[in-house]
Amino acid sequence: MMQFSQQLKDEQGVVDAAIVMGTDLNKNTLKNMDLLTEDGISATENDTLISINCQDENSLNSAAQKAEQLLVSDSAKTKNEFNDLSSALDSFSNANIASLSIPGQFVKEMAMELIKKQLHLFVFSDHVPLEDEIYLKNLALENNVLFMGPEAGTTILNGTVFGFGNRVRKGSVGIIGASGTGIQESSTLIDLFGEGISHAIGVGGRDLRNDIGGMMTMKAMEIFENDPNTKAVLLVSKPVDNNIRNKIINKINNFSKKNYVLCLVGDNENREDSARIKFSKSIQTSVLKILKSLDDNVYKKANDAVRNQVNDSIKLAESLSKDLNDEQKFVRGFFAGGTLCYESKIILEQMIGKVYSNLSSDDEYSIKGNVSSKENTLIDFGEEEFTSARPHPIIDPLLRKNRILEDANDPNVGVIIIDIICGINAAKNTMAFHAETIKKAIQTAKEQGRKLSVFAYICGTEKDVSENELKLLTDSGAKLFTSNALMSFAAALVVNKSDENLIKKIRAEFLEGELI
Amino acid sequence: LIPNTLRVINIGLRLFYQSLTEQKIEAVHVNWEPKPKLEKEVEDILDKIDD
Repeated sequence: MMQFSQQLKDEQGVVDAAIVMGTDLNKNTLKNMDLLTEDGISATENDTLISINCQDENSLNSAAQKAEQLLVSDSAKTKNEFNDLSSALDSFSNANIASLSIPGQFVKEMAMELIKKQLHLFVFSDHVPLEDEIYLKNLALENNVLFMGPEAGTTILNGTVFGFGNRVRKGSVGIIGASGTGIQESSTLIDLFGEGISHAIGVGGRDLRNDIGGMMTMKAMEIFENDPNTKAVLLVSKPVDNNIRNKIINKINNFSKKNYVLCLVGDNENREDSARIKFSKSIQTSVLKILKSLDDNVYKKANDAVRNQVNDSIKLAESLSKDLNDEQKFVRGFFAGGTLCYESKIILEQMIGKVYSNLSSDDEYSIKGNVSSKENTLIDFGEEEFTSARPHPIIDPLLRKNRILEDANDPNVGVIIIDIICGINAAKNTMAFHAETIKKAIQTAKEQGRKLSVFAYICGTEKDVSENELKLLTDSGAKLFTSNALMSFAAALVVNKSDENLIKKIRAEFLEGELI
Repeated sequence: LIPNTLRVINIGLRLFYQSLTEQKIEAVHVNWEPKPKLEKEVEDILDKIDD
């Protein structure tokens, strides 16, 4: 249904569209999108709702025709498509992995059957009950297979991307990620600096919680331990409970022959590196540390490049800061990647104070993503309020576009920051789409007599993004960054001149990984 | 443990199936749909037929 909605939105003259089942949840989402009509209100969960907002009547007629074609056409079906799992298993022998992207409440039944047939699972589905995840991960361990998920955004096995991912070169770094965009940023940075990855195993955002106990993280560590192509392992996650962290550290110290970097994004403690285990608070520093453990020359080159970028960003921020008027005091950030939003929040809060966010655990600063921004605000568009009836913002960036344009009208905003996730399964023409949005946002502020800065972190390799696409973005007026941490640091500097010691601290902890 | 040659069953989003085939991976797709929600009375009758 979601893909049909997207195809409908690509039609000429269509402003927004959705094809959904008429559940209360979906109707509520349509209401928030301004797509719920009188007929829609009376729909039941046995009805399919087609709601289209068009520029004119002709566009509406052709879009309605297209919707009908999409729903009734069987033409796209090929010999490799089946209506049920048992037919697929009968016809496709020796399958060794399954990719699941069905609603979470249906995952258990399907996954049990697949695990018992010794298939590894990549589980993109969200809303899988916690007790189902615990049960299924135990079952997977008994059957010696991986259960990668749920809510796994990214996995890369032998160069093949599951979910969202980038075209990164093969190499000697193994990645274990409790975060999809954490895997994406780290793998693309490793590629940028000339190294590559063996596999990237997404374990799901809850795997390192106490109740799951890191079951799949431990399994992935064993895989990398026995993989001759993997020389060093990077683990990316939000901060984890002490006992889980100790469990991982003990396992590395007692059983591992490989070097590890534990990237606990936004960790509020300073942890001491040992010969075997290095710690990092940001994705960028974790990549530098993993390169250092592999090849000193590659590391030195990467570190020089990062230092130059940091110095350039400080100069850029100083210059943009002069263009702001006295009212333009705040940063707004709109993210497709949850971990990137979280990392940005940690950096901004250290540099410019508390941030309103739908990721905030502080009641005073926690806001729903779909309410208007206040002061400094960062919104993760991958949260439930946006994705319950629409595709993830990496596939469908429309809601974020609307929000960028809304906040460009706010006279208190100095900088807007965004991540643009490119690569496999990302929205088609995402660079052109964002270039147009950014151009419009800057123009809107200009017409109101302000100079607005828009910063974009591009998550993609040179195989994902063409020179022409990058040019479209720079021509739009956007300032581009190669890491999320660097973009966040520069944005904070634009609205608030930080003291030298604070800059030094952020450089060490989030940008370069060691004291300079 | 990770197979060198991947053979994938994709269940759910067709987009993911398409991207796997574009990456030259052998894959099949299952057009998954939730079971229709039936009136209790109809469900009971079907259960009896099953028995």
